[in-house]
Amino acid sequence: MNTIVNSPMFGITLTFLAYEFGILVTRKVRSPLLNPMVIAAALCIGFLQLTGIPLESYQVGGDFLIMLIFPATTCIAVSVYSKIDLLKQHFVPIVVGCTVGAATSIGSVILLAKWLGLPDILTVSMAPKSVTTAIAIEISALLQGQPSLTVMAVMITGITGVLSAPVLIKLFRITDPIIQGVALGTSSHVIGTAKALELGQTQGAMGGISIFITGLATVGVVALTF
Amino acid sequence: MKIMEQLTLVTLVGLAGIVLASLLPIPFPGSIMSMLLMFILLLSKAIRIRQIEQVSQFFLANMGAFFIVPVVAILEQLEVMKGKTLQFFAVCIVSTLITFIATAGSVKLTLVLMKKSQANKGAGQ
Repeated sequence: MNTIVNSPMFGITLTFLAYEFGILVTRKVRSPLLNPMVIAAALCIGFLQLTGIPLESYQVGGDFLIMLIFPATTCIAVSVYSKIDLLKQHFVPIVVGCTVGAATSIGSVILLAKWLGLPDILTVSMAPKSVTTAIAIEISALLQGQPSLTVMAVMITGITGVLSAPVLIKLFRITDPIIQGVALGTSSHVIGTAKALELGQTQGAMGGISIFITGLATVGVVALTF
Repeated sequence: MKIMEQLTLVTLVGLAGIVLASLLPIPFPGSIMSMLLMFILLLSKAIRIRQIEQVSQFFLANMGAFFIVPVVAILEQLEVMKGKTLQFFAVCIVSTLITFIATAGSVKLTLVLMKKSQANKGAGQ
């Protein structure tokens, strides 16, 4: 049994099976609360707890998957490049919005966490929550945060954005598709952008561009703040 | 290009990103530098989309699969989170709402200001 669970193939296969199951579920039940990654993680946690297989065994293969985050991050450039015309056309408002958003996100996390008396490790792990997971993990590591807490914060942020966007758009009468897209992409990254795509093509593209610019702006803000 | 060649190109840019980031006076994540570098290489047409098309599509479409392991590692953080879960959620939720409003407001303001300055230019002519 030990040779099986300590093989890298165990962690990799369990993760892939759980992910495929997560995709299957989200295809049947569409809800902003359900996301293949969340379902898969819950399944893996449940499996490890039930069988008593230690987390270290799972991570033997898991570490291999974590290494793939790097080339995946490099490839984010491709998705932005395919929307280059929109970026050129609305360059100034996008850069202003993403920079203000990145600063607001980090600033409000620090203030709220301090007010609630949360320990530093939680604060720095939450600080990059508004950027896409790949970038957030890197910034969290830079600040000596915990990647797993950061991924949690990123997920909560994404789901909040999707659920609240329709209400906020109505409340503040935001009709401009550019503003809708940038606000969604900046405040709630990829998950928000999926919602922006539902609102329209322009919103979706603006959301995708905003993920990239907000990621860069966040690195800048973090370099200045911490 | 063949998948292996595409992958090699992506990892090469990745490595170059690490080298570039290490030259900066401030701590800068290598992966984010490689993303920026890839973007510049695409802009300058040194690399064409078709040269990395299948590999980048694979990574972009399945990125979620690579983040499952860090989430599962939350099992190690239960001690830190003890009694703080509610606050953790509250900070993330409230901050996201504030960020959305601030972003939307600043984009709106920028668009209005740009329109005004253009109108002024038009009036001056």
